[in-house]
Amino acid sequence: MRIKSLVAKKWKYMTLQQKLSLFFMITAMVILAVNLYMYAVLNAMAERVEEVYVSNVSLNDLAQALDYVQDSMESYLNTKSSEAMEAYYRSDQQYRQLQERLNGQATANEILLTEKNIRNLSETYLELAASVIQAKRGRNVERYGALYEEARLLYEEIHTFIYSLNNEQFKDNSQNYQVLMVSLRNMEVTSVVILLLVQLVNVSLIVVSTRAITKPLQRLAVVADEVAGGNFEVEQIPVQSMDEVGIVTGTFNQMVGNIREYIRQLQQTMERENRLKERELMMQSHLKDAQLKYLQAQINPHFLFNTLNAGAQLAMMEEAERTGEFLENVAAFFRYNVRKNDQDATLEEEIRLVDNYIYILNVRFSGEILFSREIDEEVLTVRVPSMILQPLVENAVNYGIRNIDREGRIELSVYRQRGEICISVWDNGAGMEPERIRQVLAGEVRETDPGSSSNGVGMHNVMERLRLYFHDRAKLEIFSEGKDRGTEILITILEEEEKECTE
Amino acid sequence: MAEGNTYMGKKAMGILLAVMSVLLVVLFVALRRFSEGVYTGYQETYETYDQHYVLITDGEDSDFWNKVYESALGEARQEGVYVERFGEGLAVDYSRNELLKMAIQASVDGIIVPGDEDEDTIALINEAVEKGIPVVTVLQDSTGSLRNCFVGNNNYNLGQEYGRQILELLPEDGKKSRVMVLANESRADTSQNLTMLGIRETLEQELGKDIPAVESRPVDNTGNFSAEESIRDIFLDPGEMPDILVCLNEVYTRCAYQAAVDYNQVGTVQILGYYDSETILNAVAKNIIYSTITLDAEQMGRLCVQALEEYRQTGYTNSYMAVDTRLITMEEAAKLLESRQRAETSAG
Repeated sequence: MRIKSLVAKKWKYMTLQQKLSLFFMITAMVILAVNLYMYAVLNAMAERVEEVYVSNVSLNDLAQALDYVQDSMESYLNTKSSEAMEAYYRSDQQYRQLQERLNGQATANEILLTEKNIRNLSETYLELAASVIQAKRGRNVERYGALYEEARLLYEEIHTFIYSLNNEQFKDNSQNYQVLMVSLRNMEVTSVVILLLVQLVNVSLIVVSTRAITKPLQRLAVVADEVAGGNFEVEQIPVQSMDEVGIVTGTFNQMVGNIREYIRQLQQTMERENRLKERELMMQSHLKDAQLKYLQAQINPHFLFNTLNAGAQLAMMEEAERTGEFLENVAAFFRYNVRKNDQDATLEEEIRLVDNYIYILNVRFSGEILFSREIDEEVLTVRVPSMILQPLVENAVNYGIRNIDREGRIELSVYRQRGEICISVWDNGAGMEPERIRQVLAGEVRETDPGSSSNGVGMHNVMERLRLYFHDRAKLEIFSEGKDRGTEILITILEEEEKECTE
Repeated sequence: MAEGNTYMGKKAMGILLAVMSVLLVVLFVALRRFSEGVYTGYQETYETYDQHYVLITDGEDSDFWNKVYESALGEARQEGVYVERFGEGLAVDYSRNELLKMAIQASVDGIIVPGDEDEDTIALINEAVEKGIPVVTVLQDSTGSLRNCFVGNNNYNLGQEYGRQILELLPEDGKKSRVMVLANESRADTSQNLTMLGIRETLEQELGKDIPAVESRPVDNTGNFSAEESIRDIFLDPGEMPDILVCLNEVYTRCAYQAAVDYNQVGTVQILGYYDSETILNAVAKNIIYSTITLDAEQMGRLCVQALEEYRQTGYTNSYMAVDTRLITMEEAAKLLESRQRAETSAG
């Protein structure tokens, strides 16, 4: 159990490479070991097969040695030569050596028993041969003749024994050979089965191990896919080992956690900012509200208008006619403002407001402004957004002719031309650079202080309202030939549009 | 869930691996067994013995000698002695005397051989005894030799037994009947003469001088299968056909029986047989052979070894050991066959 936990611990801290190498090494070693073992067993068996017929070979050697003894003896008997003698002794020695290897004990095994018989017969034969040689030396012709005959018989008999034994052994050996062959075949089959099985075990081991390694990776991939899809609310992946996958898994867990935390913080920050912005906006609107209330409180038009009327009546009663007229004009101007602030009006009403305005200005600036107008009476009923002409005239006064030394002139002309109604405000004042014209038309120049030099309605405002009212069928253009060459502001309204609108 | 899966997978995998390992171990054991089987199959172990006796018989390789040999071997093994049937496995068929000579030259420790009165045989037996190899003659004696012991029946008694059987078979005027005794031509011993004498004297005792003609017919034994040929010759010559045919050994009995069947002479020729092999017993049971006389072959083998052992241990032994003879008639043959079959089936 301790070893198991130790191995598990060791396993946990191995790198992927080490793990894979270990697996492949183990499987390779197993196959190698099995192969070596089987090779050894088969080799041993092959040696056995080689040994099977060894006994036959040694018997053949014995028979040869016996022949050698007999031949050398005969040769000696024939020649009595010392070479033959020498050969005889050598052969005797050789045969004795071989003969002594044979079994000398009585046993139930027929082969061994025959060996014993051969051994003993050979003993007798060698003694006989020795006697023959002895008799030949002693020139005892009769004796060596008889002895030789006996030895020859025995020699033949021993041959028969050896031959028979050889046969027996061959039969026996063949049987053994058969047994060996059957065993060999069995072993081959078994070996193949073992190899296949080992291979199977190895394959399953590899499958298991690679799965153990890739499983965490797969799990990681699935979770990573989910995270990539935008779901950060995934479970933590359990880290089972400390290899690369384990480390990546751990890091991934941490990363997901971090992202989640970051998103949470971001959301908090945004919420806070939103709250701040809201407050700021509210404050702004409150401020505007206050400003408006203040302005409203300052100039209650009805109050102003009634006051001015009262002033006019007072002037009439005192017979100050010009004052009375002035006050009437001022009253009319404000009345228009009160009445028409957010409605449309006829061109006639607009022109009248311009008249009032010019009158007031001429009183204020003692007739400095030469205002002339050229009106096509037919278009006086055309309806336009209110308060579009007065601001243009006001602009011409304020930016065009106010600061010039010569006599300032303003011309208002309203006419029909090629199906369009043209409203032109021309002055001979300061003029405008093309760049300035572009800026004004693009709305880049804004009245920085809405309450300062006009009654709050600027050029841009006019353009916007024309656009809203005529849906871009009306057009405002500014023409100027340059500095001190005067400015013309021209509004053209497509007549169909105008009709449509009037209906 | 995922962990549950891995757990299950691990468990299944573990079981699979365990099964495979067990299978592997089994296969390795099988492999081991195969390779060991080769070794043990190759090298058997044999008992070894102190002494080496040989049993030498001539060409007649019969059931009888097999039985003698088996019983001798069984007896000898108890004494730590091995008995070899000398010359049995040789490629050349040597004569009994040649084998005897070789056995002497091979310095065996004891010889069991059927003897005869031939000079060469006697000389060889004497040579063996002089070289310190005890010799027991079996079935037939070599009376003039130095053999240490003879194990066999009394041939005169055997003749008497045959005589009594002949008397049973003789008709009223038995005088005209012919009795033929098949004798071994090559065997120069007195045992056959003793048997003949026993037959004649028994007949004379009963019938006086008027006994039927009792003729000894030598069977040519020199070549292989010659015995069978000469016995058939008898059946082929009507003039020679005897009324009663006495066979003095197992092979003659079987030849005579087969010839009688083949030439349709059953009943014409009455056969008195020798030995109790299954064929012979069957023939007796069917009354093709009138009766057979058997020697106790097992006892014979046992006695031979006992005689040799006695001599080896004490230096002395009885010069004659008697083997029982037994007459088997039709009824007894049937019983014997039955009991043998029972023994076989129970042994099988």
